[in-house]
Amino acid sequence: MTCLRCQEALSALIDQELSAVELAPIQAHLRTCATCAHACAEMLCIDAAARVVDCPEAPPNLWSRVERALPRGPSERKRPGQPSIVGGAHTRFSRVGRK
Amino acid sequence: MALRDATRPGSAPAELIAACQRGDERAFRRLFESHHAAVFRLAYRFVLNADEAADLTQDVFLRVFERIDTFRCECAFSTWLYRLATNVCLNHLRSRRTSAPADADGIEPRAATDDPAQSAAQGEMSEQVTASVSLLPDSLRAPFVLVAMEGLSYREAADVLAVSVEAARMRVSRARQQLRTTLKPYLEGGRD
Repeated sequence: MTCLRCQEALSALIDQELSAVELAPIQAHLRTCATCAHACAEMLCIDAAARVVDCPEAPPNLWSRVERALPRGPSERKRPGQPSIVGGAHTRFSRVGRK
Repeated sequence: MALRDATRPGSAPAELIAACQRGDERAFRRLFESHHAAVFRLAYRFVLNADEAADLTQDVFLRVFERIDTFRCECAFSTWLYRLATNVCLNHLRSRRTSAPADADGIEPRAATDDPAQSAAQGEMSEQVTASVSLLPDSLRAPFVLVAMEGLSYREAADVLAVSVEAARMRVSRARQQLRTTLKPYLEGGRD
């Protein structure tokens, strides 16, 4: 196992996507190679930081925004060849079962 | 699709999809309620702006509603939804770059501070990672977001991105290598 081969496999190691056959020589190399172990530690650090990035909650009025853009009857349904509804004010669906 | 995170969009029941395909708005609402948070989070990871993420989520669901009758259960609904959402987000980023080419998505990684200990703080590291991810080319950014941040497997990411598993694997690896280079000052600062 060379350092180059090992470092090419580090990403898959982090993602737990290596088979047992692939994993064994990587782990053995990491135990003896400070450079590759260091590279692995840095990638793990980046991943850990990426996973804790704050993400706000979706706004509570999102459905009402979508609903307003929905079609109000079959006449508004998109027919083949019509432009996309996205970005426009009209949409295609009827309110089946709506009281 | 083997979901590893309960907050990710799961497979929608076939009956729900069928009801949506019949144009049942109540079914659409149920579909929206069960998936919009994950779509919003994915959009936020791409654009890093809550207002834009909300707009994109709205766009995604309008497209879902428009195209739901083309969904044929040949892949998991979550894969179909992620593919649609990823494409909407990447198209948005491309148009944003076209309109403001000098801004690099509006986010720049800050220069390393003079205080390495502070730079090493997890919060700041996350900010730096976020900023650095935003500077990755789309071909690397999308796989990294899907795999490293959203927890998709290579197979799932490959399905979403319509690439081979090997291509997904290589792109995530290249993204990590590029991030490691970009973030070198912070990574080294954290060890002092």
